[in-house]
Parts: sequence; structure tokens; C-alpha cells
Amino acid sequence: MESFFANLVTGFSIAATPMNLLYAFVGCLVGTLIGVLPGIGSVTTVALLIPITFGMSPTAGLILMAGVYYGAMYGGSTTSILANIPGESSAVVTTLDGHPMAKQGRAGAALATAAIGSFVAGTLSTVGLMLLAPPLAWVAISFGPAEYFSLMLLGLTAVSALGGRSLVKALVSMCLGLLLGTVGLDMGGFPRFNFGLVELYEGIDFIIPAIGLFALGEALDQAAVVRRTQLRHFDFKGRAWLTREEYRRSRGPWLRGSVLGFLVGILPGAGATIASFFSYALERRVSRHPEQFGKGAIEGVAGPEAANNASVGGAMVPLLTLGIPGSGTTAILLGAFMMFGLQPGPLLFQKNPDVIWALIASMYIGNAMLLVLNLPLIRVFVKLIDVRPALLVAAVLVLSTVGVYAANGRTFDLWLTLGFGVLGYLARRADFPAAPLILALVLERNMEDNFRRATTLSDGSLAIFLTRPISAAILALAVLSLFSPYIQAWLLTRRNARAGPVAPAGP
Amino acid sequence: MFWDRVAGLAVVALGVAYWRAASALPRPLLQQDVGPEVFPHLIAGALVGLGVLLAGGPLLRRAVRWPAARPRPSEAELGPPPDVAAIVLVFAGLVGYTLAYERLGFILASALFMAFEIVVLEVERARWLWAVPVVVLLPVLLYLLFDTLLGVSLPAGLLG
Repeated sequence: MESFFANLVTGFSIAATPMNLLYAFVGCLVGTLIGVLPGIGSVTTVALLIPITFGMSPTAGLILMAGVYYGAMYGGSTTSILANIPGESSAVVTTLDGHPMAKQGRAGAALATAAIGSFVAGTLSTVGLMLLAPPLAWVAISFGPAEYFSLMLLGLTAVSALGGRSLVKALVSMCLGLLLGTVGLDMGGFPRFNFGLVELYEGIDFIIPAIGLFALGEALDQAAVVRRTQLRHFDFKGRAWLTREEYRRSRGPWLRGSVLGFLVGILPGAGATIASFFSYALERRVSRHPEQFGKGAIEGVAGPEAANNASVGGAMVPLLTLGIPGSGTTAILLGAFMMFGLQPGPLLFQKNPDVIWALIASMYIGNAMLLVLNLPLIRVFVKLIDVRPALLVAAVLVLSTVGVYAANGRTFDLWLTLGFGVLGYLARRADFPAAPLILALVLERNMEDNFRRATTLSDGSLAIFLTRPISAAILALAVLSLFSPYIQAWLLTRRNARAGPVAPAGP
Repeated sequence: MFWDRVAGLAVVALGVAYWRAASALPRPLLQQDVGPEVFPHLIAGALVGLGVLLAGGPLLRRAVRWPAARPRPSEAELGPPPDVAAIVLVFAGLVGYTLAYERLGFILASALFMAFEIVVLEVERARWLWAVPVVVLLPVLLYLLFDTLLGVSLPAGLLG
């Protein structure tokens, strides 16, 4: 316990240096600014802003990226409430009551409850992360290659099962990511599948598919509709503030949303979207006025907004302790860690405790900064929603090239990104989710290393994954996660059969 | 459904090609139990299986009366039909941009590219003039921020 506080103090002493405070501030600010732009989700925001950290120390870079992640999550809620345009699936729920509130002239209250809820949730979930991560890392230190392989497989199957509409398509996307991950040198130092190209010798840099699939895919998607969409003008007058009554009604949802969001966030694949849907369903159930939901109930904004921010802290738990990201955004963060030469996992807590604790401390600081920043500046941010989409598409595309080109300084990567952009657009149209691909690509190297180490221990037999009890249990969970959409569908049809038609629950 | 079938067959073909490419990998001199081709073989096998499911899924499902998971209309089906001309033009712009990236340099290429995209995508001509300051300033600011301030090198091109 003593070392725990000592660690936290060390963390704060690193995170609170003027430069690191500045990085946290810049991260939050830029994350919010880009997150507010309509149609740009947090994955794209994080991917677009990675090049800012290229020249930084790992600690500074990660502090900045964490700020961007938080800022983007929060910025998305502004667009959902005022413009009814959810930038990503986790912001969809916020539109249900947030936008009706805005239409009734209560936008200020909706924005305030989202901002304060995000602060409460961010802070509470950082406390959870701080308490849960060290013991989990301690347990995971005993894991061998078989356990790690199984864990990564679980991470991948869970994201595939929960992330898309079609399980088969999500798994195809995952396998494609694994396939792309095998391009380049293998653990024995042999080049594979590089078609003799020097540029592919070391594999495909994760930033290329991340920007291609998400940023370019989103931009092409917008380009496809921009000339046919009627634009509306948004205005926000007044200020973001809560009355005593609104505060009283928000308090419960914030706290429930924080706990729920944190717990759901820990589960691989679940993340922000499911957390926000669960929280909405929970608030409607416990409310004494469930009929107000969908018509501007403040609880319907407070709960889900708290939940989706709390899920960030939850998602950091498996990312930091096991090196398993549970979503597209955390997969990109994992890529950023690796870019800095850090391998998240139990060893990171032993080898680089300063980085981890500085990151945790910066999450407290970043959340407080966001609150201070957002309440007064909301009117400035709102102006961004009015940016013409044509200009937005052009600017996003230009910014995309910066990250890709700057990584290695060659146009080959731009061509590759263009290919991924087209793939990303087609995949979007055909309902193939992109998150499993990124996740698989980022994990492949590690997964295969562990696979080969484990099978070397067992003289080439695959049975080792089943004879080691922890590994077998994790694999069983992975199989179960694959069937979860079917179990969910089956439960729904049974419930429907009994209760007649109900609103579709969950994403 | 038709496109799912096409995609499924493409996935099967990819899986088969990948399997063969993995089998053709040179074996390391040091004898290993698990060589560089084993993991790719597993992925290839999964791809073939998934491709078959994707292409033949509806038929299989009817055969075993398995319920479809989460039948929801996709956003693609709900939204307006895609503006193919816009996509083709944006894509052509990107190809031109990539060709010009190192030749003209980041600032010039980006400004030209943005101007092109805005002319293509902005319906209200009156807005073109409004975009001019952004088209000129954004590339310069990004260049100063990344290249000069953060030390992330971007091509200077003609202006270098």
C-alpha cells in the first residue's frame, strides 16, 4: 500500500511538470476540437493526431494521446446533443434525449450534465484503474506464452462478436488483420509475404491501416453524401449550467453510469457503445418517469455520457496490464505504445512504472482540465459544428497524409493508405467492421510470437493451449464470446414471444 | 446478399492463395517444430471457412433453421444512395495529391488538393470564396506545426 501511494506521488510529480501539463492541455483541447467536428469519431481523432507525438518522449506522447482520447469522447457528445449527428456508435444514445433537450431550449443543461458527468466518470474510473491494474498485472506476471496467446484470441473474438452486425464479417475482418500482420519479418528474422518490396520488409506500420480505414473511410463516406444532404444551421445561446433540480436528477445517473461504464469497459470488445446503451436502459428502468425518456430526460444524457467516459478508464485496465486492447481506439493507443518501444503488459509495471503512473496521474489532471475548459468554451466549440462538410472532408484528408508520410517519409505509404481507404469505404458499405482488423494487425506479431513459443515448449503440439488450465478457461470464454450474438438473439426472440414487440435493446 | 456471396468467394480465394504462399516460404536452416508457415496456415484455414460461411450462409441457415443474429437494417441501406461521381472525383483528387506530394511539396500540393475537393464537393458556389483563407492557411500552419515546430519532416518540394 505504501508503494502504491509512493507510485502515485511519483506519477503526479512527473505529470505535473509544466511541459507535461501543457501536453495534457493540448491533448484535451485538440481532442475536443476534432471530436466536435461532425462525423469524426474518437478512433479517427486519435489516429489523426498520433504524428504530433512522433518527436516526443514516451511519457509526454502518451499523456497527450490520453488527453486526446478523453477530449474526443467528450467532444462527440456536443455534436450529438446540438446537431443530432453522433460521431460514432457510442454517442448514438446521447442523441436520444440530448437532442430533444436541445430542441426544447435546454441544450445548456444537456451539455453541462454531459461535461460534469464525464468529469465524475473519468475521475472515478481512473480510481478504479489505479486500484485494479496493479493486482491484475501481478497475477498476469505468471502467465506463460500459451495463456497470452489465448488472451489475445479472446480479445479478438470478443471485439468481433460485439463490434459488428455480422459475426462472420467481423471475423473475416479480424483474419484479414492477422494476415496483414504476418507481412514482414517473422520472429526468426525471415521476411514473409513482402512481394520482394523493401517497403514491406519490416511489415505494415499500424498507422497506415488506422488512418486509411478510419480517417479516409470516414471522409469518403461523407463525400458520398455531402452533395445530397441538406445542411441545417445550429446555434447555441445561453450557457452550459445546471439548475439545482437538474443537478439532483443527474447525480444518480452519473454515479451509476460511472460504475457501469468502468466495469463494461474492462471487458474486451464491449467498451463505450455497450456501456452507454446499458446505462440508458438502466436509467429508464430505475426512473420514476420512464415515459420522459426519448423526449428530453436529463437522466438519459447524464448516465450514458458518464458511462462512455468511464469505459475509457476500464479499457485501460486490460490494455496496460495485459497488453490487450478492447476497441479500435485502444488498439491505436497500443500501437502508439509500441511505437515508443513500450510493450504494455505486466512487465511494463515493473520496467516502466514511471510511464504508467504518470499516465494515470495525467488522466486525473486531464479530466479536471476538460471540465474547466468545456463549460466556458462550449460556445466556441459549437461554432465548429457549422464547418462546411466539403471543407471538413478536404482538411481531414490533408491531415491524414501528415501522419502517414511523417512515419517513414515515403510516398509508398500514402499509396498503401489510399488502398486501405478504398477498402475501408467498401467495408463500411458492406457492413464489415474495421475495428477487428486494426486490433488483429496490432496484436499479430505478439500473438504469433506467443503461439510459436508455446508450441515450441510442447514440441509442436497444439494441445498445450488446452492442457494448461488458465489457457483452456480463456479459450472457452473466447468460444463463448463468439456465440454471444446468437445467445442474445435467442433470448430476444424468447422475450419477444412472451411480451410482444419491444424496442430493440442494445446496439 | 449478392455482394455478400461475391465477398465470400473472394475471401475463399484469398485464403487459398495465402495458404499456398505460406507453404512456399523458405524453411529456416535451424530445424524448428513450428516454422514461419504454421500460423499463416491457421489464418488461411479460418479465411476459407469464413468465406464459405459468408457465401453460403443464407443457404446453410435455411438448412439448419438457425436464427439470424440481430437482424437490423444497416446504415448503408437507410441512408441516401451514394454519390458515385463525388467518390470517383475525390478518389481521383487523392491520386493526384499523392503524385504531387513530393514533387510540389506539402504546402502547394495540399492547397491545390483542398481547392479541388471544395470545388467538387461544395454545392453552394458562394462558399468557395469563404474557403480560400483556409485553403491557403491550413497547409502552411500544418507545415509550420509539424515540420518546423515538432520536427516531423514533410516534403518541402518547390518551396524548399
